[in-house]
Amino acid sequence: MKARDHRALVVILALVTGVIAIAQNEPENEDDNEARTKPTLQDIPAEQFEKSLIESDLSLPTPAELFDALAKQTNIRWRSYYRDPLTHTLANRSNTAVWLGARLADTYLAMEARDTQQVRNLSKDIQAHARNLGMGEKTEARIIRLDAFAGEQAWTGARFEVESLQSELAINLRAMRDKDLAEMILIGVWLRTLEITTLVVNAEEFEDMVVCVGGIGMVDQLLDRLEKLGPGLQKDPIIGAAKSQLERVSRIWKGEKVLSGRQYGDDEVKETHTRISTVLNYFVRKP
Amino acid sequence: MNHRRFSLIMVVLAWVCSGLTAQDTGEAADAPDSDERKFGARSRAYDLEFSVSAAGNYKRRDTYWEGVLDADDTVIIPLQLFKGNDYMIAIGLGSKENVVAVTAFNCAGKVMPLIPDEQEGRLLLPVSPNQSGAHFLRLRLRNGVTTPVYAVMTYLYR
Repeated sequence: MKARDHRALVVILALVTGVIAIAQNEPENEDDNEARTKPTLQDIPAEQFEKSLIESDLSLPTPAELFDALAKQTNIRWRSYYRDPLTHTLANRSNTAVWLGARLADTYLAMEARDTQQVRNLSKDIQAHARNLGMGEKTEARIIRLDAFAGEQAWTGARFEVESLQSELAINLRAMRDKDLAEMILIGVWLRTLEITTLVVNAEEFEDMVVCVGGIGMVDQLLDRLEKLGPGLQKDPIIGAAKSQLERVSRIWKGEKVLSGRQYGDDEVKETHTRISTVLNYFVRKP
Repeated sequence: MNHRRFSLIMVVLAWVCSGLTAQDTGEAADAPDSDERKFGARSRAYDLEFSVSAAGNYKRRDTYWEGVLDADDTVIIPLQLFKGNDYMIAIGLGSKENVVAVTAFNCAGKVMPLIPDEQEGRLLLPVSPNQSGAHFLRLRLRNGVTTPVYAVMTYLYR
């Protein structure tokens, strides 16, 4: 009798524990999904937010803004974050566009290091990839101006030229009905930027760790852009894998967790770096 | 006699046509997205950009948002801002008589108590975020204003 009571108690306890565990997990997952699509915004009515929110290229900052913010917190040896050029040809135009974006981000990095030669090396690389996308002639004038600014160590002008180059590439690709390629360039810019910033935040002392992912909402913005790519690219397994990795990163740095003052450590930054790097490498690996 | 009547008809026709053309031009110029208004808004935004970058050591962006703000219409533009940077949001409007209401919200969607510097169709809003992430800028016509306004917006940072 006593043994039966004991077994019943154990079963009841197990059930209660299970129910509590499920109840604790479910809202967490719901929150994760909810946070990306509908941010909680205290003073903006939800209806007005959904109706009035617009998409603009202005919403995506330049890497220089993030690098500037990082450099204000600590001294950074920017040259140690350079990435070598690829030695192989990429599989297709969308992968080329991602790598072209990555090289634009590397140009911002070289400008932080005030490295004229590296900017010139990168501008050659950018032009070669732009040529592969049929944009060689359209980028030539900007590349010449960028090299000239870098030669004079006029970094403010050089940064402006890189953004103009990026904008012109996007405008021309959209005009050629290659909207997706324009998006892939922007995605490449930010994947490489976050690959750099996660390394920097991991290596140096930072009070504000969320800056490694470009602040609250940056990864979600990249995910939104990946999700809005055309049906052709959505079938590409690389895009699916990239979205899955970025979803995981988004969950680590979910806005509410950051805003609640949750403490982040090296583990989260390392995991984020590994996932971002993995995504970038999906696009630029050997065919 | 016929010649005189023909001349009179021609003069009347010319007067009617010139009146119609003037009316057309007037309406086109008054349209919020007319070339004149677009040019006005862009040049006011550029003026602001150049004066702020020269005076305050701010770096310019080469990207803009532009569009018409209608009555009962609100535009919310997300901006990814970083803690440690100072930002200056610059807005140019179609004519120097135009005014708009601008509100900035932080990452949590809370109103940031900021006072814009506004004069003659030019508006500057300084923002120094205390959290890195998506901020939101809401633009709309002031209460009681019903005439649509063309607006061009960008920002500078340092």
